[in-house]
This record gives sequence, structure tokens and C-alpha cells, in this order.
Amino acid sequence: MVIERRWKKWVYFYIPLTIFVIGTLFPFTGCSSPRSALTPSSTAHGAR
Amino acid sequence: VALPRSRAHQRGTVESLLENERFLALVLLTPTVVLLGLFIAYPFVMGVWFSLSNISVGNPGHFVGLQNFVKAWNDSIFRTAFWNTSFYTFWATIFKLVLGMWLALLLNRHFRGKRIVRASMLLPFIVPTVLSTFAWRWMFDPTFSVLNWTLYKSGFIVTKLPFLSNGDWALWCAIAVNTWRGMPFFAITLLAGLQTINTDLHEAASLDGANGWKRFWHVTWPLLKPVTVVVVVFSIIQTFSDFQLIYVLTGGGPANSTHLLATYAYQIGVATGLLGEGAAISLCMLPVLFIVVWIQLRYLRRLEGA
Repeated sequence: MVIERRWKKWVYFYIPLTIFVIGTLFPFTGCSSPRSALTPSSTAHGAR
Repeated sequence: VALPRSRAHQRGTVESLLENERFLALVLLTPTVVLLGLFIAYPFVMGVWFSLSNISVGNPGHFVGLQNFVKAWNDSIFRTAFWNTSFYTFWATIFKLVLGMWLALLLNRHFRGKRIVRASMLLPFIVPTVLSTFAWRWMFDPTFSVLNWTLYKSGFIVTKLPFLSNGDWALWCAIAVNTWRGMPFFAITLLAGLQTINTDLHEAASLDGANGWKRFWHVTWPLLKPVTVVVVVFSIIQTFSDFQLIYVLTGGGPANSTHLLATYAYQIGVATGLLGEGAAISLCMLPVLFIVVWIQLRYLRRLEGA
């Protein structure tokens, strides 16, 4: 078995995997739905 | 119990027929040939005929030779669509391959929650394209874009980014969505390929002093090449003939700048009703795909022979 240092495991494994998971699942979160986009907070202050 | 004479005679005839290999082959092959002919050959032949005629909605048309192809080639939107299709396919396939390979290497390791992460990575591929593209359209929406909102609130931008209102931006957005959607297919297929590689090879390489990159380049990559070629061939075919994503995301706009051959063929053939011209535009995909697939399959055969 190939042994690697803890910081390397974070840099080369945990962080990229987390980015992949967030990037992949982000469009499925509520923030991309029309209903949440039309909430007063986003229409009044957002995307200006 | 003796069978009636005629039934016994009939059975004998059927049995002797089925014992004839040629007849049996014909019986077994007929359903496949009928299905292939009905659902693949017939539409294809009709498409070729349409492209050589001036058929339109309500007009049976007549043979006009290559006139539709000449007209398409002289059309600036067709040339833009052809360029867009090649650009879109090239970059989307590159991104899907690189990111899919990276994801497959990450998923090939042991970690807690491995199964749930692997399953969740497949979500973009499972969800219908139209549905997920609608989500992305909202994310790129000029007014309600969550991306613009996030970048604006974080102080990275002061004006809204023209995700879908600028032609170049819109094409890159389509490439991003296609990459997001197609990457899991690459990752899972390459992961299946990675799991067939013996771990002893990696251990032997690391004992010989090879670092991670060298282990990938000299051990993993050569063994993954055949799987990669097959995945890339599938991806090129799918991406080059993509329709749904562009149709939902941009509809070919703004100002016809993001049309692909499939969406433009639909626009001309179905929306405008010029079936002959639409068929000619869609048939232009055939030689390009044929050449790409032929080159890659030849390469694959050479790899297998080596």
C-alpha cells in the first residue's frame, strides 16, 4: 500500500473531492430554482 | 397415442425445416432485420431522400440533387453552426475527459461514504437533460442568476456577467453545462477501467521510486487507453449531435450565435417547414462523425493488436 502524508491527502484528495461534490450537486440545490430566485431578498438586492 | 396423420405430417415438416441451418438462420435473423430496417434504415434512407429533394410541409417535392447542400454551405448561419458544433464538441470532450479522469482517480480510493459519493456523482447523468438544463438556465438568467448574485455579493464583479446574452459567453456556458452533465459518464466508465488494474503494479512502481504522476503516466494511462478511446468515441457522437441542451439553454440565440447543426436543422426543417433543407443540414454531421469514429476505432484496433 502506498503511504502518503496527511497534508498531501487533504490537498490531493479531500479538497478536490469536496469541490467535485459541491460542483456536481450545486444545481440540484434550492438556490437555482425559480421560486427561490423570486424571493424578495434576491429580487430586491440580488443580481444588480 | 397416435397423432392424427395430418398433424404428425405437419410436425415432421416444421422439424425438418428447422433442422435446415439456412432456414433457421433466416427465422432467427428476421426480427432483428425487420427492427433495424424499420427504425434505423428506413428513417436514414428517408432522410437522405429528403435532403436530395425540395420537400416541405404540405409539398411532396421532387429531386433537386445537391441543391440543399449547396444552399446550406452558402448560408452563414450554417457555417456558424458547423463551427460551433466542432468547437463545442472539442472543448466539451476535452473537459469531460480531464475532469472525468480526475474524478475517477479520486473515486477509486477508499474513504468513508464512498458509495454515497459515487452514487451522487451520477445524478447529473441520471436527471433528464431538459430538467437539469432548466436549472442551469435559471443559474445563468440575466436577472435572477445565482452565479451573478454570488459573485456580486462577494465583490468579484460590479456589473452582471452576460452569461446567455453574449454569443461567446453563451457557447462557453453550454460547454460548461455539457461538461457538468457528461463528466459522470466518463468518471464511472473510467472508474470501471481503473478497478481492473492490478494494485501490485502501482506498488511495484512506487517501490521503484515512481511518484504519483509517473505512476499515472506509465502504469494507469497505458492500461486505461482502450476504455478511454471507447468513451471518447461515444462522447463525440453524443456531443456532436447534441440538441436538447442548446435548445433549452439558448434556443440557438442570441442572434443565432449558439446554434449547433442539430438545433439549426430543427429550426429549418421543423420550425420553418423546409424538410429537405433541414435534412441536408443534419446529414452534414454524418461524414464528420464517420471520419472521427473510423480514426478512433482504427487506433483502438491497433492498441488491441499491440
